Amino acid sequence: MRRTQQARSRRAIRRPVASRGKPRSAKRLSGKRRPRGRQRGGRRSAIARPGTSRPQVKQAARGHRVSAIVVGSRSPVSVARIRQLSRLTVLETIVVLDGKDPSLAAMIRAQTDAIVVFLPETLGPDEDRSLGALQARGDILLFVSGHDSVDLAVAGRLIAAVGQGADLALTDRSASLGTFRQWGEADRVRAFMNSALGCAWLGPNTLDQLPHAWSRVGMERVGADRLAVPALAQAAAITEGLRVKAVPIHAAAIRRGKEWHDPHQEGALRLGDHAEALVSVIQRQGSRLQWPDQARRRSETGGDRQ
Amino acid sequence: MRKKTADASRARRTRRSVRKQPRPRTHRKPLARNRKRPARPPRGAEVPDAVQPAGMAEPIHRVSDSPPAVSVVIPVMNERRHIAGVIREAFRVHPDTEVIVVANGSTDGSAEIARRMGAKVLNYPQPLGHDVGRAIGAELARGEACLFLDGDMIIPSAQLKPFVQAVLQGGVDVALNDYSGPTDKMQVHSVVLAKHALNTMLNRPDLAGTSLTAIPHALSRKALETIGTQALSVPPLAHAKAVRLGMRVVPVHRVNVGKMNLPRRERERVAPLERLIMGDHLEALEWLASHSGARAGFADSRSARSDRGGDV
Repeated sequence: MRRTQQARSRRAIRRPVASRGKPRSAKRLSGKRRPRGRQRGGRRSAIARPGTSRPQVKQAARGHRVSAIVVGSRSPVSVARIRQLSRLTVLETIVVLDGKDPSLAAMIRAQTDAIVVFLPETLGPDEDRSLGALQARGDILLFVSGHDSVDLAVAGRLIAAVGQGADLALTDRSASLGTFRQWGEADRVRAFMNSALGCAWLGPNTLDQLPHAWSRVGMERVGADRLAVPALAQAAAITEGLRVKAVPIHAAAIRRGKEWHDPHQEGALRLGDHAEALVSVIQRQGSRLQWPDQARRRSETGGDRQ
Repeated sequence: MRKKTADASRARRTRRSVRKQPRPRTHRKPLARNRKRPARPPRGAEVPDAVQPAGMAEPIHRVSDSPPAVSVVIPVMNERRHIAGVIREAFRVHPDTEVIVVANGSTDGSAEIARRMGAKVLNYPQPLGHDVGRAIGAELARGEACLFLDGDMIIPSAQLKPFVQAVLQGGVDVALNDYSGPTDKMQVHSVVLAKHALNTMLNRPDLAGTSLTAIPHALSRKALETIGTQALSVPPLAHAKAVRLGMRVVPVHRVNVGKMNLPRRERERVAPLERLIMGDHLEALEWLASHSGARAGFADSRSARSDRGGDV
């Protein structure tokens, strides 16, 4: 009798936790990776389970003023998408558009209450982020791309992470990248930059990728203009000692994330950005950063080092 | 001397029963009972000729004064157990070979063994630190090809010849070990990551994780002169220089040094090599920026960045 009661109460404690859809493995995913075997089979529910439900998103945003910034200079923006965003109980939705399609700006202005930043000329990659950040008034800045339905769960997680004290919340895509051998060239360099700056646990996760969220304090410490070069902004966030977090997102969102892929994600632009970001830290902090060489007697090689 | 990429746990596994190797008569049997056995040569490797006592039939002292075809540089710090085997195999890579042993901080008689085996020995009472011995040995080397080995790993000469051949006959300037470390996992060792990232930033993703940090590798005389022997103290720096200064850098042959590496728990505890190598790669990147610009030569498709500082 007593035993059954105990068992029942134990179940009673467990059940709500499981059914709430709370990510049980959040900590493990962002930090140390689980052994591979378990990620594949067995308890995959932690990753594959549908993410935060909408009430939780609203809860995450509660008490915060969230500016959603749709960076649309390189991708089509739909009115439906902007309407969807307003469901996140955001303070304001800012849409940054460049000169490709003037009629779109007018349409969005007419059909939604979003703030439209329209620049007649063509913007450089990610310059729209800077412009959006300058306009935003909220204390949490959510950056989303223009051409996919916003995954409310992912956006909610990012907002929640910043609400709970992170200065920069990235999406943790490492589970979707596969083994190191399958990584792209840019992923290697991204992971190396994080590692070299002492944030190996960030893995290949990057500010290049949307969506992500900043705290206002964090964004202002880094500077809105630096957001135009994501790798620079990420390096600055790390070296400024901001709290950078990689938020695990569930498998469905990662798969959808692949559709966000744009040609600039890989290739020379991103590789150069990361080299530049690392080099600028090196120039400020010294050639080896926090990785000193204490044992080599280089003078024995006859002359100064080259 | 340097531990190549390998995770120690992997190396630990290689301590299984080893085929008894013919022991050169020139050095005494180790006394301690629980000494580790020498690293086992890779499977399928040529087993050294058992009949011929090493270092005897080989040309012990080079009589001629003309530069040899091959110089083999071996930094050594207390490698009494392996050094004779390493030198024996080194002499076999080419008939016209000089072996240069850079003994540093050695107190176990390694230098004496090397001298007896016919190597040129440079003796430094204090440890030089990682890879400095390579730079010093390379300064002295006169060969057309310069092969770099470690004193703690006996690699059969059959596994070394491809590196020397590639330089002497293949027109290769930098013949690398085609070994990228274990990459078929979600999270790789930071050293493996750094090597891959550097090659990517050098715009040579095809080199994968191969690097001058891993032995064995061979350099042509031209490469030595172009890179400068001093840069060899910081292998990733030398690697970056070789690639960017137009050397023909080719991974020519795979020797799985990860499996052959001996675990060095004490050394890893005191000064993890991982940290040293991470810093080395940043030095390489710094040089790359000085040579090819802050973006390492990658184009910037942002049209106007005049108003944005490039600095963090």
